[in-house]
Amino acid sequence: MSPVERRIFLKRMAMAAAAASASSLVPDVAFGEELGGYVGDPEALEWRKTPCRFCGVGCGLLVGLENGRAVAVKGDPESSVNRGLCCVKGYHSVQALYGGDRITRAQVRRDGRLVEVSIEEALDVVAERIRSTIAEHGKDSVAMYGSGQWTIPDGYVASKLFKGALGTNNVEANARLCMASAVTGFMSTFGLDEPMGCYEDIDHADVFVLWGNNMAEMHPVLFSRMLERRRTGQGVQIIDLATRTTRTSYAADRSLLFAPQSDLAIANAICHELVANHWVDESFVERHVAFKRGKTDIGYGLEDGFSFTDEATDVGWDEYVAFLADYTPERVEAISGVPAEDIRWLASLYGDPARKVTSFWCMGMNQHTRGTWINNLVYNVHLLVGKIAEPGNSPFSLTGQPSACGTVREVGTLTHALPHGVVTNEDDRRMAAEIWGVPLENIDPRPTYHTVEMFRALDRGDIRFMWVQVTNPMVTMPHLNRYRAGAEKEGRFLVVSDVYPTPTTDVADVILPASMWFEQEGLFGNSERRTQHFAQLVDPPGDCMSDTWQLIEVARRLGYEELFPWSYEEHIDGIWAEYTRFHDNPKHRMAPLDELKERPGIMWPYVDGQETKWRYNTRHDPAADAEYGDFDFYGKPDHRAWIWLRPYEPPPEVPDAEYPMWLNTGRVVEHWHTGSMTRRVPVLHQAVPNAYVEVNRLDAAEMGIRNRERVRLVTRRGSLELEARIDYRGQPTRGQVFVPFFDEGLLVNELTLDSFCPISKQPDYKKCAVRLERIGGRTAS
Amino acid sequence: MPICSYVVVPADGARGAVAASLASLPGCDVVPAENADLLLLVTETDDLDAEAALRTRIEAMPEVRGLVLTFGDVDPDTPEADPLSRTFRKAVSSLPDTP
Repeated sequence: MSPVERRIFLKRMAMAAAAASASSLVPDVAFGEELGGYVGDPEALEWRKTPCRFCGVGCGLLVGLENGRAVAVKGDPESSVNRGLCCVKGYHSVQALYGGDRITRAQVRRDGRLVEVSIEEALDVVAERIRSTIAEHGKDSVAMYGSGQWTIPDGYVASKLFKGALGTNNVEANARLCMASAVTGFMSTFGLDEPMGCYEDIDHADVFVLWGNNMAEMHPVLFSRMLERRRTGQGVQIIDLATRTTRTSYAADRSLLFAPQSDLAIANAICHELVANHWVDESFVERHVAFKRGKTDIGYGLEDGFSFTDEATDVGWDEYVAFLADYTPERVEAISGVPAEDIRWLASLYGDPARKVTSFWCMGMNQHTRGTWINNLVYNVHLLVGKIAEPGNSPFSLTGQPSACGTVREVGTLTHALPHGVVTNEDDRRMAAEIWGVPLENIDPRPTYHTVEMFRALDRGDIRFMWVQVTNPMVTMPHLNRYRAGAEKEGRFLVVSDVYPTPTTDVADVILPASMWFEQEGLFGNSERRTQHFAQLVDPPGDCMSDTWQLIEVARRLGYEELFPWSYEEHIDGIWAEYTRFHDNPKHRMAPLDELKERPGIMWPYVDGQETKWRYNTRHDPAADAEYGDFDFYGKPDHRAWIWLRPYEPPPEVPDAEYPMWLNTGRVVEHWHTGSMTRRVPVLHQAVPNAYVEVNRLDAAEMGIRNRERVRLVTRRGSLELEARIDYRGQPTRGQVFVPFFDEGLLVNELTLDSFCPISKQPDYKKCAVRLERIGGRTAS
Repeated sequence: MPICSYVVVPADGARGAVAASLASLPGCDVVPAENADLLLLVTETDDLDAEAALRTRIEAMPEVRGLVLTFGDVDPDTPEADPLSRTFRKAVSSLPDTP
């Protein structure tokens, strides 16, 4: 394309984008022939469906194609998820494919410099390095680190190659950093992962309680749907329970601010009030609930090789009530800062039998050194009042990535997991061995390293080779200085498959150019158990290749042709047919690929042509046995959901004289994760070009810090200079600062702490101790 | 050279006047809606500063009630000159701060 043609093309694309946006504002707007003359006939564009890839909601998009390029995007009105709406990232999503510095050729580091090579040569290098590393250091010296942005086929072939063929359980994904506590919360309470409800709960709920969940920025389309429910429903309320005032707080009916980590105490206080006021649904509890006590004082995972295994002990109702005695609203007010009367009021909402209550949460509860516990405790609240697994009554754990559920959780791309079950279970290993066509002995029964420990192993030298796909750990790992230094050590070999240069490609020994999103065929699975297929809509640039096919190419070079026999044209069909054998039962049956290709997504369990909207509910779930009553929590052997006695325990690092404030980190609506894609989209980049630190206005006044002045943050692990923002889009409580993590030039994770939940192994990015220092001088703008 | 697009919301009854005003500005292509108070605007300017100045000028028009950015592309000659590339960002971040 000549420069002139490109500019004409861009102007047409720009006009088409404006027309699409106008259509979302005024659905029947017409522009006549003048528009047709400018952009060509919009009807002439080929509009194809795909799920959005920029969060876990799973909005359906329609992408307009012309001359082999994606030129326009709009929400898919046929998608039950978003009903034609998109957020700012969705509307600009396709531009992320066309950044100027897209990686299109493979690179191999030689004499300290990355040099371009053919993709074939790079894949040879990768295969040979895996072979030689295993020969020299053993099978557990090679590792795969993927992502909740992996497609389902990506994750499946990665697991099959590493666990089934190479025989190592060194497979992890960045979903460990965002969803692991949700998984262990589900597993410990219900025995099965993923929400029992679906987004349709929003249309039925009377009360929404958002537990540390800034949905206005992180899940904006669902937030809009919730606002619409409030606008059209009678007396619908949104309660924002958070540690920082955000855009969500402003839209909520009530905003309750609590001290970091004290959500544990608040949840128990709500349960205390439910019991004290006789709001417990006794028949539900008697029939469907069991009570368990776990270990306490369980540590924080700060030391290498940290190990913990929880143990459930049976307890009764009386012991549970005695446990709750420590959590009177007054005592919890002292811990949390939330007035006792507000805790009582919140409990009354859950306790009112006339109101349907949906709780939403995401990173606030999951990135928590007691992440599993707080997940358990919110389930406790819903279980005590029987408000669960029916329309509008729903404890709902949202996801952050497009396929954290579909790939990481359902395919099982974590060290302990298999596509069905866990490596420690012989029946599960036997199933995997049979479907994969490998000897049972190939699948190691011992989990190896969870994510933090995997990077510690790389630092120590226990891992020598790591292949990273679709993620950017040199921005996202907590206590980053240690893990970047580890990755750069002599004798470590890092392969990175990505679409743009990042701090992770900076330390790579091989860079593989990856195709992105609908430059390949694939499937995602969103927060509500919805599997979504997308076809390859455009050709990838240069030598770019899907992660799935990169893995298959390397597997074949390693001699595993028979395990990966599919042709390129048919590999997705072949993988799907093989993978779904793992879930061929009424509890998890997945839709046939032909149906997924036609529809904007289908929820599992998909039985006899029907989606299951509310699991465990015998009126909706074919796997639930009515012998157990209206609900059958069949994930547990006793067919009951478990209420856990989980106490409040403080975090490992709290503010002190030297580091007197809390540091909280997170995202902004404009940027996806580390910004490697959204920062290439002009509108999104210009909206939020750099990271900043939000400072409470009273703290700022006390320190003499003015808005947009440069300040320094210092923790025990590092320091960082940024621009202070006062009364900006979010306002931290006094004694707290907040920094978004999207900016690779301002790496806040050099400051964060690599403590984690001992059960889920998920790090806590939401709280560590920090010192704020005034530097003076405005930042360049 | 940035190319951007906007949805322009005119004051009541001012769609035609706004269309005429925008069409008279250099680098602006306008398509008014036929049945709603909306206009589509595509701009082509020399650099980001010029784009920002143009946007300010349009927002200051009394008949313009709102301006929503819907698309933006800088279209660099080389990736190194692309303000969205890492190379460019790293070069800029090494410059001394503006006082």
